[in-house]
Amino acid sequence: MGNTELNMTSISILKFEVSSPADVTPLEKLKGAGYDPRHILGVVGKSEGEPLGSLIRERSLIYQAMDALTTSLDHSVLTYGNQSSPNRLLLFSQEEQRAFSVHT
Amino acid sequence: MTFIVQNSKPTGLQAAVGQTRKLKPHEIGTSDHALQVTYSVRAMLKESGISKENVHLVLIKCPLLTSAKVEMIKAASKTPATTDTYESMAKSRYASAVGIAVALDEIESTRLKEAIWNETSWSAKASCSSGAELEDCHILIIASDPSVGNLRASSTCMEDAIDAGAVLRILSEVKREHGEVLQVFAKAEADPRGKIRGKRHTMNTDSDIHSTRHARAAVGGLIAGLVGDTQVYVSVSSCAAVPALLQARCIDLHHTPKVDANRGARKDRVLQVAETFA
Repeated sequence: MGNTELNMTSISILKFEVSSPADVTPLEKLKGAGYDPRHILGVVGKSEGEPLGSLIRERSLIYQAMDALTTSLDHSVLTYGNQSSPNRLLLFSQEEQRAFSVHT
Repeated sequence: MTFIVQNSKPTGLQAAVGQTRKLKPHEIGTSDHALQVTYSVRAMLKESGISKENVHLVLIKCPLLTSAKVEMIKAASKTPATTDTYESMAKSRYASAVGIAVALDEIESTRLKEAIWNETSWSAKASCSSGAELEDCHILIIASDPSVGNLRASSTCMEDAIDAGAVLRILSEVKREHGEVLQVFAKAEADPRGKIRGKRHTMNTDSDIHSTRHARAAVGGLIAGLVGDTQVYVSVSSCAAVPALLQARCIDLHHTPKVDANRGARKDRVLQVAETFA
């Protein structure tokens, strides 16, 4: 059994458009909506990438997005991948493009 | 980009967050993997007080096998779930979804190993994706708390990739309550049998574009058109290498109703739709 330190909590869901994988302006929009980034439980998004299937390229884009996000947040707030998880943040991502509109 | 954020006031939606322990490379995509997910989800439900009946979506980001991990497994004289790293993504998603299904009593505990072996099971609540950066499974449970707040969650299953009726039925609920969709979370997959309602589809036989991309685009187009929003989340479920579809195909329609100018009332909903193949 891993970490289940956070008990049930009420949540809100907010969705913002992004202009590129490195666009972290949604964080400012989140603050503008009255939410503290420290209270983020999850980020769900889709990346954009080579439409015909360069998985490496797509991964580089999703990591670019993750790097941008982690750089923009205090590292005591945000964790990703194998880092420890002091503040329970999870990032859910897909490293592949979508036809209509990207989220991450 | 969709944020799931804590709110100090009751909203009608609840969440719990947790992780499995780190999975050993040879466990990824196996019944051991699924069992760890089951343990974690059950513990999260117990500790949070969330009833499994109110759960609409369980999001998991799970590890996959990299070439290095495959070599580590071989060096330890153990057997990987697969030596194909791309296939391991599907294996990992499948094992995660089986773990969720068992935790939510969609699959009997005694049939967990069978489900992993036969690869024909599925969950209506699971949404799993894999990533090379992880060694454990990150878990986010979203549930309804219908007694309070203005947000709601609903879910259903699509019978196939063109099952607009399933989406429309939920959208009619939204309309009836003067709601507005906040977000949709969907899982899609090209029917591995190669047919939709008896007609041949070409998603599995396209030599240029992988079926996962076709499926996302097709189902994404359907949902976006019905909801009237291109910013919906449509993710791939299993992959062609795994013939069955355990991966849950989930759509959450989070909708916020129009504000009643007279009363200032506001009532939001979240709907979840899951697509399944018979």
